[in-house]
Amino acid sequence: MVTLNIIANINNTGEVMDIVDSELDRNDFPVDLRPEILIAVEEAFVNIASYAYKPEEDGYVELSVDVDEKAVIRFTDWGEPFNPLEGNAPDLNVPIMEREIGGLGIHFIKNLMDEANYEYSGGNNILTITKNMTKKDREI
Amino acid sequence: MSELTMDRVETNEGIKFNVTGRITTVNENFFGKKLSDALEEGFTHIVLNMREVTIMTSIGIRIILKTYKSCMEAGGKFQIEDPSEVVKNVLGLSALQQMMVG
Repeated sequence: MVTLNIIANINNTGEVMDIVDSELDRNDFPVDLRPEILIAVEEAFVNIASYAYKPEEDGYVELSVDVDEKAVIRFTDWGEPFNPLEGNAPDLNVPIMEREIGGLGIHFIKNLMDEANYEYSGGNNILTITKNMTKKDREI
Repeated sequence: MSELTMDRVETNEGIKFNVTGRITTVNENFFGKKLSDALEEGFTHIVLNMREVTIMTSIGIRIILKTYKSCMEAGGKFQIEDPSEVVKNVLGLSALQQMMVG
């Protein structure tokens, strides 16, 4: 398990993805599941970096990655209480030419991960996303 | 680990990019500029070969959607050729399967 604090800035997105990728690799998490996790990690971190703090604030995010038979990634920030999972789902029935550009990030998190949970506790916004190994992966 | 390459090939119909690597927030400017440059040069038929794309997040979809609209408004065409499993997955989640060919 790895836990570290990182400034909630979009410029740190690559570093966050690399940290998670390294931890998945170190624990031999199935390669075919890693892209979905990394996509969800980017979406979660970018959301926090964009909305958790005021632009002039250098707020932090605590990133925690715990990998065994499932990959559990937790983001904790100390910004205003905000549940990103409560946002409206994008309307995907609209013709492409009329489609809004944006709004897919949380939709990706919810659909690419097995679990996505938010809680506000003790002044902390805590977003936890989880990907389970498949039964077949566990048997290898 | 965030490298993105876009080899550019001009064809009889328009322009094709062979894209490899990750399309993320880290390299959104690079990805977006390659496509906007092609549009500014007058190409309205754009093909992205995405067989070697290993990750694409929503920022990639955002840029693709914007480019698709520009091509269509100009009477052209925008297609994604030979998408990797990851690309198929995110295009499917975005209900943009109709952009895919091959």
